[in-house]
Amino acid sequence: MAMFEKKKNPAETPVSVASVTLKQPEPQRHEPVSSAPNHSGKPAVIGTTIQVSGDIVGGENLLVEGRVEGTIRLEKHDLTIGVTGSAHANLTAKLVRIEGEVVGDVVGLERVVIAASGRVRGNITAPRVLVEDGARFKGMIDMDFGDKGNEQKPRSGGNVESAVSRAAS
Amino acid sequence: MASALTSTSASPVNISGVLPLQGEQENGSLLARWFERLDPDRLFTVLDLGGAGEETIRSFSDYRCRVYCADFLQELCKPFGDDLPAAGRLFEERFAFIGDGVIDFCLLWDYPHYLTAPQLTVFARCLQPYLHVGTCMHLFAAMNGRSRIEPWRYSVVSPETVIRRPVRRPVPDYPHTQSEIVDAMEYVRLERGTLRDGRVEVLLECV
Repeated sequence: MAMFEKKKNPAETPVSVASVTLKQPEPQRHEPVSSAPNHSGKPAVIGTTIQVSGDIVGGENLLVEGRVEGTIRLEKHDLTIGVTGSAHANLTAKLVRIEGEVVGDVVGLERVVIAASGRVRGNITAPRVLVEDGARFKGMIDMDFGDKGNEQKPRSGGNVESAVSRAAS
Repeated sequence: MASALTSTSASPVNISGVLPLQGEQENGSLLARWFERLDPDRLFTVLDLGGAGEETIRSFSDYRCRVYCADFLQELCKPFGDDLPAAGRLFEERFAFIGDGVIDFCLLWDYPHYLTAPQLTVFARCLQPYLHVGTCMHLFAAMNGRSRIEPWRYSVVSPETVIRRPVRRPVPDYPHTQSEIVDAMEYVRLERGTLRDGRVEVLLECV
């Protein structure tokens, strides 16, 4: 846990991690994880061998190259799920860029980008969504922020049983 | 009703103006006709069965909409044989992600041609619960049974323009004509426009 502790800074939202599992620690390979408020423009990084279970809340940009299960909320900052990253989590950030795998719902307060290497199963809510050629996505993209005027329309009838019997007849 | 469409091999500049789009451009009229009907103040929903194409999502992001994406062309291409109940279960399972959603516009592309007529009927009936009277479906069909439907991947670049690119996929066994499709999908009526090389752009409306 110590590697995730941040120096106290009232101006920054703290990172809280419910639990962290280090998968096969590799002493010779130090994965960078931000331990201080980041003003350099470089994101904090959850490295490739790190698994996080729980909720992550942050006040700086974050790059996930490891595995996260739970939630990530960076409402005023950018979140990138890197090529080796995997998030079975609900994600909220100003800008969400997905280069790896995400299973869960994604909210981009400004934009969501699924890169060519990205694989997403879940729903995306953002005013702007970019899906690069080659990306794999299954789910719903909601580009109506505010949800105004969403009138539910009555559905048609029909069911599989009748479909099969009618097709076979 | 029938209006001439054109296909060109031009490489138009994409919306960002940076990279040229590779692929052939098809200038249709039926897609544009559907977009013209849209009330800009009202949210609409789209089901895209060709996966989330880059240009398609970018195009729809100019509108207040929800786009449901599933790549039937990749995942459910020639899947079932003659087992119609299995096909029905699979379609039902794959459509389940729509949940309580109701679809206003469906991009079928050329998926119906990968299904036999009985399979297409099962598909249509499994899709029907997510549609409403007035839902429109856009697809490409064959002018006649001898026409060849090549495996393309389509993207909506603008209401007037669809781009198609060759894709590695089996050639459809069943290039259905528009009348065969309407016969299989019992709850639709047809509008159509012609394309070159024996293909037809089809707009179906649920009635």
